Amino acid sequence: MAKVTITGVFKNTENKGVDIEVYAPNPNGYTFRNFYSTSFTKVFDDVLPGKTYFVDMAGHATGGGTFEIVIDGDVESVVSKSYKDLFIPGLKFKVK
Amino acid sequence: MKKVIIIIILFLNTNYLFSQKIEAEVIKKRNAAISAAISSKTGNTKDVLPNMYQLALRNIFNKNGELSFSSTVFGLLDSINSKVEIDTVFAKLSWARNISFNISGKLDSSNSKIESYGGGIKVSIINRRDPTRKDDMFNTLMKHYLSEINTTFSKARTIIAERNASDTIKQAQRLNDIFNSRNKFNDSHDLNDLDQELRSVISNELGISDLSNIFSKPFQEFDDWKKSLEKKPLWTFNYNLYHNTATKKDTSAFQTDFVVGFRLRKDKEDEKLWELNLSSYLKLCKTTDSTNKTSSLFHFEAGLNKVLSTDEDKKSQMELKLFGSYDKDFAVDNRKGIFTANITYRYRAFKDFWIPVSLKYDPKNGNVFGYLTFALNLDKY
Repeated sequence: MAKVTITGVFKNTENKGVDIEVYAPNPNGYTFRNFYSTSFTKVFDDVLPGKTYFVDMAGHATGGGTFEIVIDGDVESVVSKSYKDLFIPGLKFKVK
Repeated sequence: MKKVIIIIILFLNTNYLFSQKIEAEVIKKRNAAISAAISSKTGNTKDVLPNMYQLALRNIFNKNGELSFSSTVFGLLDSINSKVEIDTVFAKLSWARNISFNISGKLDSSNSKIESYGGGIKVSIINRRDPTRKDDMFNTLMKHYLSEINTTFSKARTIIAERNASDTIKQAQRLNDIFNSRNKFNDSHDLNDLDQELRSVISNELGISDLSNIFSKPFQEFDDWKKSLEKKPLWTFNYNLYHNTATKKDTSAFQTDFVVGFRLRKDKEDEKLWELNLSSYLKLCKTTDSTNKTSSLFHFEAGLNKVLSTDEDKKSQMELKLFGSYDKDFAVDNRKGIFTANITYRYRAFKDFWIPVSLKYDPKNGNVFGYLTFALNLDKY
């Protein structure tokens, strides 16, 4: 098993939240989902090497505030993105 | 005065170029767009209370030019430690975003030397315009919408993945297509950018006939909430103390400002914002003549500020303010107050650099006075 960490940080706002789903299709399907109303760090220590995982996000950060997400650990390349206002993007990462 | 203007312009250009270079480096390092400060505040409102910092040069090309710098307490804390931006700390510093201090220097009538200097403190008594201020009802509503978006997406995606379970290559391709369409919709907010099969599954198999209720309505509600903030009241009170270097006398100034926004037609969504602006101050200073009276300069103004145009982010770009003012010096016996008509045109040259041009008309004496100001607001949020 490999280990991947997802860190989400809200900045410069008190109106914020993000619904995150991490998934991978069958076979060896994977799914994780949670709603965060504040900054968080989530460690995934049950991901499979060589597999690609998708991250669906639906969140908000008002007034020029931002939500900054970093996916690192046993990944082929670190993912780092910043979002504002209302956002529903998707990310993906491949485990080394 | 010319030297001061040149120095200020160089400082602004250097600061702008430096901030652009830093922004480009951060974008390159993080591989993400850094959000611009999307503010619901007009240039008129930022003169009442800046988000973080404001540097202003007033009465340019006139007598008694003035340079001032304002900062909220939050801006000062942020310059020392940017960790105050993180939500768990940010939430505790609401008071810091509603208290600002300022320092200023005014030149003499020949603009050759500093005539007076001073500083003060400003406090928000009411600030309902702050988009960072916690709104529990709004957060609960958004949580509902966000969860619904992900639940709908997840269910539809799972159905499509199961349809292609026997062909893992095609399954992976379809999931990639759906993933790409989600990001495309995130940028465009156009329902047609969502994957066609996904839309079909949501409509026919999940029974959601109107996709806009799930995917478009949250964006509309979010925009409506932002727009509602523009109309909310802001009321401040400030105290300033100035020292005159020539007369060695001090002036105390007590000032209050009130701003509230409105739109005339609720059915016209793109109508630009109006603002009612009330302001009043009382300046107390010992007179320089032998009577040693206390000069009591009273000023009151009331007017309307209109946003004339906005940029692609719907941020105010150009404003026009019409207002009447009344001034009276109570230290001078039997002198009547003076009524003037005023107009201020504001233009945002770039980011948060405003150029207000003001004209004051004294109808009794037929005099017209003009004032030019440069105001740079340095914000992170």
